[in-house]
Amino acid sequence: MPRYYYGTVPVLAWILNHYFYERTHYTWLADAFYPHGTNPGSSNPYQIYGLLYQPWAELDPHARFVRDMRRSLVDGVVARESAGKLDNITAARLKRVCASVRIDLFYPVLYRVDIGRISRSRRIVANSGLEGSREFLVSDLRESEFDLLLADNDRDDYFADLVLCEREGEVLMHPMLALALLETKVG
Amino acid sequence: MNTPAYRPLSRELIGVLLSPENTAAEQSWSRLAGALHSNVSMLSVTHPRPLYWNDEFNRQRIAEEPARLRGTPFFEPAVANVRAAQEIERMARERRGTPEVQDVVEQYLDALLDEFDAIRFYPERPPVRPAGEENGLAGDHRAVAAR
Repeated sequence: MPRYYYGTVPVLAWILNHYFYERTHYTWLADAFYPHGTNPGSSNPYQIYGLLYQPWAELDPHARFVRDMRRSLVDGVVARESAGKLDNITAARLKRVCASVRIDLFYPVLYRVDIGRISRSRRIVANSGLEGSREFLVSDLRESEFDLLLADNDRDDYFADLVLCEREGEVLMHPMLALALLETKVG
Repeated sequence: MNTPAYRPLSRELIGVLLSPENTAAEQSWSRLAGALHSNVSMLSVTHPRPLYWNDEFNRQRIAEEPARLRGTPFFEPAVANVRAAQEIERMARERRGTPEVQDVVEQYLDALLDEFDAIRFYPERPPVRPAGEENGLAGDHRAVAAR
């Protein structure tokens, strides 16, 4: 029987992982969508979902919560660039996207993972996880290992092209085309 | 010792950092700030877990980037920010989860992210938060609940 863990990320994180990081997803997972009483807000998928959804739904460009996400998405690009997995021109373009893309790309999506399929050696326990918070970091999650769940937003052509069709395997968009599409939302 | 705090660049220094002849310094400052944000976020119970965290990569940047800024006006604040983060990590090891440590963590991250905004909006000023609106997860929740 599956034992599901959940993680919430802005869709921009899924897009970067999918198109630019060899479909390898860096993911924090909690042992419930709403791990009430066990996990701090920083690792509670339900709370994170709400804090991303609200500014997305209200087109609030100044949501403070999103700044953390932008900062660490930039950091992910820096890490790939430093490891020689991204050329410096693409990295510079991606950093600009992470820092400045409109709130549309911070729509929250949910990863659902059957934790039994992830070997113990890949489940990293860190910080509050060492003190009772029920969470793992999986830094190399493959797309065959999780379900991508969306509450809505399935009628937006832009979103459908970049995410939904790719998820279904209907279209395999070239990463540079994906980057060009992302850049249309910068500003 | 004073409470460890992030020392953001002044608006004037941000202007210098973003000038075309300082591209290398700007990249070093960004790499260092990224590493500090990543490590200190791991100690927070309100800011989200970083979407990228690699302890070894962070340690490497924290060790190397300040040296790249030597001889620039960014060296001193870079070293101060590294020392403050190290002090916070020491405090967290000894008194993790106490309100005092959490306050220090939140203030460090908020100052770092305010600077991040100041840099990405420059030369415009980032939007001003409504008076009384708090930072972090709890603040965002209260702001949403108040609508």
